[in-house]
Amino acid sequence: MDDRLIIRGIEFKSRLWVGTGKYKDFEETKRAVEASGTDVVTVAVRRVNIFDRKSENLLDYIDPKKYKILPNTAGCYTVEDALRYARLAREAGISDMVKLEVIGDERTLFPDVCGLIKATEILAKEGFIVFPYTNDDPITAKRLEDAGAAAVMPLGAPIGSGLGIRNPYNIKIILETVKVPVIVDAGVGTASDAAIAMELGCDAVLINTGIAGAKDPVKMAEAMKHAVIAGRLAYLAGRIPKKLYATASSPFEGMLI
Amino acid sequence: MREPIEPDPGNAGVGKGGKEFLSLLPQGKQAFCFMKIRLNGQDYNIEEELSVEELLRRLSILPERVAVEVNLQVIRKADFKCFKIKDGDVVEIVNFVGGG
Repeated sequence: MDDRLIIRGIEFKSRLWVGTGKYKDFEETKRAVEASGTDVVTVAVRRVNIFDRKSENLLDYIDPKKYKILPNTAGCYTVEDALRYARLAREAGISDMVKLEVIGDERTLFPDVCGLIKATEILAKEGFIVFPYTNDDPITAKRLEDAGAAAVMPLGAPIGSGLGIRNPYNIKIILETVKVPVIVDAGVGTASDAAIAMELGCDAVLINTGIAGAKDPVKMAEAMKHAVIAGRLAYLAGRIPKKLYATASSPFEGMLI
Repeated sequence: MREPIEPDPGNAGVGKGGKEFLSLLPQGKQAFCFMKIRLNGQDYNIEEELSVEELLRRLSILPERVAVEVNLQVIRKADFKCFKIKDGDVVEIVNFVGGG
């Protein structure tokens, strides 16, 4: 079955994308990323440690030849900052992809959607492949698509909250509203959350804390891998309608009356 | 004469705890006049205009995995050799770290 995810000509072999933050060390990051079966990882852009040149680099563990590196603009609260980080990321990396974040509030880390749309428009014009992290609002998703986003990444719940897919109906409406791929980003806490996102018809799921914060991140990475595959297959298979009353599975015919 | 090992006294709080400051001067070279640059939020003195390539070399930073910004302008890797860092420049060197 041909069920490849292709965005702007780039083929993604896995529908599970993973973040590389919050792990105990690089070794654990590597093992969890491997167990997830992913081929795309997100990274952040930060200052090089000038004083400690012996400190190891993430890319010593996550081979950019093996994984697609998707830099984010996490921590940016203005359009200007997000553009700055995105442009630096492009120069530090090897691709035009950016997971665009323009954060509106420290406590919720909800996106500033006005800034997000503006930054998406500017970066798309500069040739970036923009993956904006947005809220679960279909209108914003449409605006982002119009602004040139390569995909939209609605949150399931606040970043790092593990609350799951809080508004599956909005995600469903987003799926019907935009033509670009929909990738749930943030909020996935356990395997069933990932499966729900995929069963809704999302094209992929991005998980960081849900894996990195688990007691056993490597095992959770594997669980998420199976959940995403299971959810995707269930979506493609087409689930039965929900009904209030029972329908017998075994025939009446041949019963001893 | 000032010690050619930086950052300058204004940043005495950074690097405490036995961390050695990196000199931006070639080994063994003594400098008598300095220019000031701001690098990743710290002030440094350098003795001459440096190319980005030379700066990275002195800091033992591999150019392939970093991006460099001078006065908010991203410097293309192809320009590392010819782009000179001048007195008063604000330089940022960034790389990828774990993130979601």
